[in-house]
Amino acid sequence: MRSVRTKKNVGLAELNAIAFFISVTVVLIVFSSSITSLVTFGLGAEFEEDVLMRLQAFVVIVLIALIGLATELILTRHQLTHRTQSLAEEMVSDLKFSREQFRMLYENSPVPYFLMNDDGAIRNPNRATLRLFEGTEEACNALDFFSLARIHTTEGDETSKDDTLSLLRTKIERGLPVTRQEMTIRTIPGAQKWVLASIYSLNKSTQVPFKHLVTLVDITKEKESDTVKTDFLLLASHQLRTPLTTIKWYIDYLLTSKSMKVSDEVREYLEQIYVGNERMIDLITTLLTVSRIEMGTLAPEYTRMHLGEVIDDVLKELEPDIQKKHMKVEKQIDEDDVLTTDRTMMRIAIHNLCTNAIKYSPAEGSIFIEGTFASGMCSLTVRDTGYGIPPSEQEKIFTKMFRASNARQVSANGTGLGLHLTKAFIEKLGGTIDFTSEVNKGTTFVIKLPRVAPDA
Amino acid sequence: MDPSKTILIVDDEESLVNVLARKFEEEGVKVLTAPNGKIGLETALAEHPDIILLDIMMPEMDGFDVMRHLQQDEWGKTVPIILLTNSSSIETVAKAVSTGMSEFLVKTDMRLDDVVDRVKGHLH
Repeated sequence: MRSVRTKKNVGLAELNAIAFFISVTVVLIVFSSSITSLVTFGLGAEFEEDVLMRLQAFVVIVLIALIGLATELILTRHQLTHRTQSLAEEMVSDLKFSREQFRMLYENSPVPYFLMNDDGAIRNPNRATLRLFEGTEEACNALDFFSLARIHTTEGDETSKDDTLSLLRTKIERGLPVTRQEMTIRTIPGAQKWVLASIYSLNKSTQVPFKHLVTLVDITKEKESDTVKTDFLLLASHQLRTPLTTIKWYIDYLLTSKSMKVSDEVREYLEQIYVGNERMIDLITTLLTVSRIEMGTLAPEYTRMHLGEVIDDVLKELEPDIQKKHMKVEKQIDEDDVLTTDRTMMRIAIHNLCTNAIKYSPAEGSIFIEGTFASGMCSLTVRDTGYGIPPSEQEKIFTKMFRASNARQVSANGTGLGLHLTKAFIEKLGGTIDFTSEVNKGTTFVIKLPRVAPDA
Repeated sequence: MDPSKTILIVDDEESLVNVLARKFEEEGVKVLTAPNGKIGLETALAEHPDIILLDIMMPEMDGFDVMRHLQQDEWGKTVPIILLTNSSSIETVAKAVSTGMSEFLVKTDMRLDDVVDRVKGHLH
């Protein structure tokens, strides 16, 4: 629309100029013949008819050229002024359009946006912000963001919450960006909502008081569903394990009681039931852990640990199996073997790799465990001289319930969850797990983990 | 074990209370039992046992609440408590509330003799 209007204006201006030029030319032709007559009359000279005609024509041409030049100059100036004007108009209109576009985006974005000053006062809340805080713009402008926000670190520890919030405040005052900080906010009617807050600030030297742009993403629903999931797993693990504990402890009582007289035959059967029950307990524990990982309710608990100690602990537990198969275990761990990671997850991962190495190796095989530490990374290798994994099955080894065809022939027992869980744990801890394998030669697993916890 | 010692077992799972009670009676200690946290707390405050085996997930009052109430009692602050549960998901919370006088055990991880050993460790 805008450009059509501008073109039309230019066309009119040109027509006007041409009309002006023609009328001026006609007037001048008439005027020039009068001038010529006056000049000849004034000089009192009588010229030949054709000389007079030539003189007249010359004057006309000169005048036409002069007028043409003048008109051209006027026209060019006119056009230039007009172009500048329309260009400015176009730019202003573009700016207005962009501003309107930005305003519409800001106002109607499903993500809450508002501006904030260093003290936490709120300005320009968009509609999503009003919905989030459940109040009017005036009510939102009267809020103090820092008194509504709470960062939850340790359960029930109010002091540390305030410390974390003041840390966040310092970060904002210094103009450092805050990205996806999980926190709760209190709405105007007093409800609690979970949000991910991101805060971007204009340059520190900028003299605008409301220079922090705050976006809050409402994650209350996700948080509630997390609680439901955790409650379910809590109940499931409790309900499934209680009857198994009853079986375990009663068999245990029959086997160890001083007052019960159990015949050797019955004792043997009871021991079989006991072993079966233990397998059931292991399976349920593993299944629940897998579910917790998949539902995202399992958070790593970072502690400082010595890798060598964890490996020794695992090997001690597996000693009876190692001896039964007359296997040779070699271990080589760097002297400085400290890393900060989740001890339980790491122990389960190492336990799974070592159990597999023992289980899927022929008697008198050997296992080599190596732990090296370099440039902030820990690298753990577990190599066996076992049956290996057939190449066609190698890409599936970390999938849930996978068991290699040759592994099934060797041992009927196995949940097919061990490697799946190991990979899930290692990835949760920010690491990677890789392997190489050759049938009847052996398998090598390599875990690479950062030595420090994220954000540590 | 010292026959003058008394152990209080608080658990809503009757079969588990029974087997633990029989085991500890065989070990020669006096056994008290309670089917939920509320009765458990009352029994503890009235009888002052030497140690408490306390389940966490129970109706009426859970194990954490029992511990909190005991913390407000002069005697209750000093009694050793072994928290027992089958829910490893609350392990972290349980560890956090454990004090120097208490510890936390997952039932399915423990053999009866292990439980007896842990109790003996606190009764010295």
